[in-house]
Amino acid sequence: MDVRRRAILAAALRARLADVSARPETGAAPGALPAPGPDADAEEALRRLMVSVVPRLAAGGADMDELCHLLAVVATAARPDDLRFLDAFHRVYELGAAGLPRGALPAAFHQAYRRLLAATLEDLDG
Amino acid sequence: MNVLVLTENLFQAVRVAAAASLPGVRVHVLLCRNRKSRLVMLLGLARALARLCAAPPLWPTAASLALRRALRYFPRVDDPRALDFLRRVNPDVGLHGMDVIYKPAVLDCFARGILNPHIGLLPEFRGRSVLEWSLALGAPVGVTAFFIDAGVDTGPDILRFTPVDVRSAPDLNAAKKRLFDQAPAIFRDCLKRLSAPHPVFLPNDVAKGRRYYAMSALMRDVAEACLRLENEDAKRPS
Repeated sequence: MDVRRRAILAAALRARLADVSARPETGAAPGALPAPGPDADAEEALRRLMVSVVPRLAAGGADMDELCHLLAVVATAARPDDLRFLDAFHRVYELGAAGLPRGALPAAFHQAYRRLLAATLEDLDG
Repeated sequence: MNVLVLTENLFQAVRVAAAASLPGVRVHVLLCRNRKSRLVMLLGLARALARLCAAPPLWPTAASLALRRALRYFPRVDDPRALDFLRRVNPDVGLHGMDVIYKPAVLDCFARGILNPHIGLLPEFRGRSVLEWSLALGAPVGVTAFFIDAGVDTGPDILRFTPVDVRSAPDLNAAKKRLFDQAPAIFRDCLKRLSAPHPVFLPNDVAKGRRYYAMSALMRDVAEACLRLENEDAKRPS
C-alpha cells in the first residue's frame, strides 16, 4: 500500500476510532473477548465469521458466544499488511450500529475493536 | 467445440453467444432463474427483450439460437431437466454467468470445465469485493479467466488476466460494471486460445493469495477514495 492510500486508510480509521470511543459500551466496565486456544486457526475463524455468523447477525439470529469466540481468534491475526481481519470487526460494528438492538454487541467487542483500531493506526503512522 | 452459456439474463446470454460464435464453435444457452423470484425473472426477461429489440447486431444470434432450439430455460441449474439438457448438449466448455456455486453434478457435465471471468487478479484476490480490495491496496485491476472447481475461486487452471482501466469510472459501481462488461470479449479470446493445439494455462496457486469477503462500509469508502485518487492521477498531464 502506497503512502497516499495509507493516509486515506488512516483518516478513515481515525474517524471510526472516534466513533467507537464515544459509544457508552466502550467505556463500560472492562471486559475481554475469550482467550483463543493455542491451535486456533485465524483464517478458518475469519471464514466462519464472514460466511456464516455475520449473515446470521444481520438477520438477528447470531449466537453471541460464537461471535465473540471467532472475533477473539480473528483479532490475533489483525495487522496492517492483512486488513481482512480488522475488516471483520468493521463489519460487525457496522451491523451493530445499523440495526441491532442497543447493547446487543457486548462491551468486550467494542473494547477489543477500539484497541485494534488504535494499534493499526499506530502501525500506519509509524 | 460445444460451448454452453450459463446465465440468468437473456440479453447477456445473447451478447455472450454472439461473442462466442467462432468458426468450429457451436453455442447453446442455459437460462435459469436460480434464486431469483419468478417476478424478478419475468421483469428481467421483459427488459432483456426490449434491449434485444434495440440491438440489431444481436438479432442474427438470437434468431440462430431460436431456430436451432439451442436456448433452454429451467428454474434451476441443478434441476434434473437442466442436467438432462446439459448431458444431451455434452458441452466442452461452459461460460459462467450465474449467481451460484455449481454443484459437482453440473461441473461434471463439462468436458473441459466452466470458464469464470473473475473480476480480480488470481491467485492473489479470491472471493468477494475483490475489485474494492484491489483498489484499496493499489493492486492491478482486471479480469482473470479461469476454470471453476467446487471451491471459491480455487480452480487450478488460469487462462489469462486482462488488465482493465477503471480510472475514469465515476464510482465503484461503474468500475465494477466496466469489468463485467468485458466478459463477452474475454470469453471470445479464451475460446480462441482453447481452440489452439496446445493452450497454455497458468497455475492458480491458492497459497499465493488470500480469500476476501464482503467488504465493510468503511473499507468501501476507502476503496472509493482510492478510485478517485487514480481518477485524478489519470487526468493529470504526464
